[in-house]
Amino acid sequence: MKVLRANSRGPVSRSLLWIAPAVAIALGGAGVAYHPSGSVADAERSLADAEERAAHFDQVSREIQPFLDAGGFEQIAAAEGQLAHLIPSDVSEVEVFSTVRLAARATRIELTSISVGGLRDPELPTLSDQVMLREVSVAGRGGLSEWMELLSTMKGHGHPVVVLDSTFGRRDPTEQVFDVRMNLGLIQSFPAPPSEPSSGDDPDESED
Amino acid sequence: MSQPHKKRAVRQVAVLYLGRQWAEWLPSGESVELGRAEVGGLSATDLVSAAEAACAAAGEKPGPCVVAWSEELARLGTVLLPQTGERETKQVLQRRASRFLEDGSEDVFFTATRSFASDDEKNARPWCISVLPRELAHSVHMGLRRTGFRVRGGVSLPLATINGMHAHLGGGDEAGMVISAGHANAHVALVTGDELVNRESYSGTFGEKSSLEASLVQDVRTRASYWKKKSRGEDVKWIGIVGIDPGRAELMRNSLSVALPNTRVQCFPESIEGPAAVRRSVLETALHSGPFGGDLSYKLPPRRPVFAGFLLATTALAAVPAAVVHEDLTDDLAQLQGETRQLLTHAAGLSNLEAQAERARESVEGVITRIQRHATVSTSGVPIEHLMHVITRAFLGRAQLLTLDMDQTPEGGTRLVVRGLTDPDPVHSARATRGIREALLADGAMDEVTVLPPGRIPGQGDMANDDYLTFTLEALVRGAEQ
Repeated sequence: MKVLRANSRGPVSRSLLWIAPAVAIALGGAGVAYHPSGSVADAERSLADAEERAAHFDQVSREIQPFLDAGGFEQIAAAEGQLAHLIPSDVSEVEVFSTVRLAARATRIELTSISVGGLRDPELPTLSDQVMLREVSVAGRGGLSEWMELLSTMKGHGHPVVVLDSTFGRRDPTEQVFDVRMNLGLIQSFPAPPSEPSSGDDPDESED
Repeated sequence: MSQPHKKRAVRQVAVLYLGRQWAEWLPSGESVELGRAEVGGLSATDLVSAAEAACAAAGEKPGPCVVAWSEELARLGTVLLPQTGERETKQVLQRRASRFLEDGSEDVFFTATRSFASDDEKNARPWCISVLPRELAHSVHMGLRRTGFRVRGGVSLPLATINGMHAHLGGGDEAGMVISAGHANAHVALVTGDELVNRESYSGTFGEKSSLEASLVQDVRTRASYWKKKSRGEDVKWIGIVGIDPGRAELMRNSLSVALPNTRVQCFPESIEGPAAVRRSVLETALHSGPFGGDLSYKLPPRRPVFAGFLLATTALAAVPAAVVHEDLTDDLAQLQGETRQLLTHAAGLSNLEAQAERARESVEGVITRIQRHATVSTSGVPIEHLMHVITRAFLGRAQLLTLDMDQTPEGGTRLVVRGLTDPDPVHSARATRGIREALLADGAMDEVTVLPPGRIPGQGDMANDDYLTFTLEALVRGAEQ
């Protein structure tokens, strides 16, 4: 038996009349419920980031807080000041000249010449300042211990010095006095030169 | 349908008959009352009014019912269609159905049942079709709903009688016939199994001078012969007579039993209960579902209040869990955001703290670098104090120091060149120079100590220096970093 009907609506469309709005409303409800779930996922990620940041903060705080509580920066600044004080700065050639003469007078060395030369770079790390050696050539007569005392006197007067090369000599071995020529390097500090601009700007190219 | 059972069947719902002349109401249950009202016109309003009146005549209020359409309203016909797909068949039936309507309305509402086809007719199958103008079906159903009737189904009454008789008498693939009568016409139908072979309607009523009875008997005999020929000798197994006055039906039964001795003929109702019982037996067939004729109930759109209530209930059902979930998620979101804010507030000074830590690290590294730099530059150059001390001790009691040259090597060490004077005696001089060399080597910083012999033998030449033997000593001193 086969039956065909031409009704106003078929069973499918009649069912859809009821089902479609119900499904639409259910989907709408699901959408309302789903909407904040995306935000919750974002919030959970934000919370994880915040927890990581807080843990990092605690770790850094544990490391730095004792240093800060002990006045670490002040102590470091004081140490830097003391270290900087060990090396004189802004010393003129006249001052160098006078320092050598004063030391020679104190040690009864008979100076015959003092020559203040240029600067030698010992190639040490540059911080806020730069350490250089001021070359000073000294000649004169005196005993061995007196020449050693000359160096000590200069250091004692706040002018650290190193010996670059030296020549001692006497003609009569019975004499206690040596003819001496000594090249000294007076340790001095100078302000660090300004850092050079980064390369890449070729003036020739810019002119083009 | 109550007969032929001894006990009267209980009707689940009422039957509302709608015809061009009459509307009838057969109540549900076991009631024998049959309400009838005359139909005042041809409009849907007239039909609905008549239905209300018939219901009232039966002493009832409108309620659930099955609508039984008369053939004058739900026209019946047969359409011969070639074998095609269901969609095409439906479209052709839609067009053909309008031809059965008097007003030629093309917007029709129909059901069609595929009928019997013999082997030589398989290419074109007949379809029995029940047709109503859609406007009439819609208006009548709307009117019935408005007045309180709740339509549970719809049938074409002539086809319903075939269903009813088939339900009682038919079985298997047996062929049978149904003779039924209505207010203004009668029908004869031949069926086999659950397929309608053919049917015919006769206008008119039974009366003393009516030839309808004879026509029906003759029609039955003709169809029986047709079937015997068509089925290659098989007889019609049963004949059901319904809707005809019992006395007249009995006469027909006798005539047919004689003419068709191998056919079982049964009348409904069997007992003489009056005209109402006869009509009731016809109307009760509307409650039988069967293979002949489909559902003619017009499905109206849902009532607005009902539909609105459904939407409201659905919305509530969806909104409540959605709101609960939304609220839960919103609470979770607020809690998460609160915790996040708290943690971020706690870690607010992280950048500053990291900057301080970085500055502290750089400061410490700066101090260390400054110390290392100071140590490096202080120990550079010739270690003159130390060398002078070592040399004077080495020469003490062994030789006299004449000259001393100290120079830095490119590697950071110091090269010594010392000239001295010793006793000219070879033994003493050798002992002295060896002692000086050993004393210098005893200092850990001396790598190479070489004593060069004098260029002159004492006693030769310069007599003034005969008291001494000169020698030259060269040594290499490692630097502080070597």
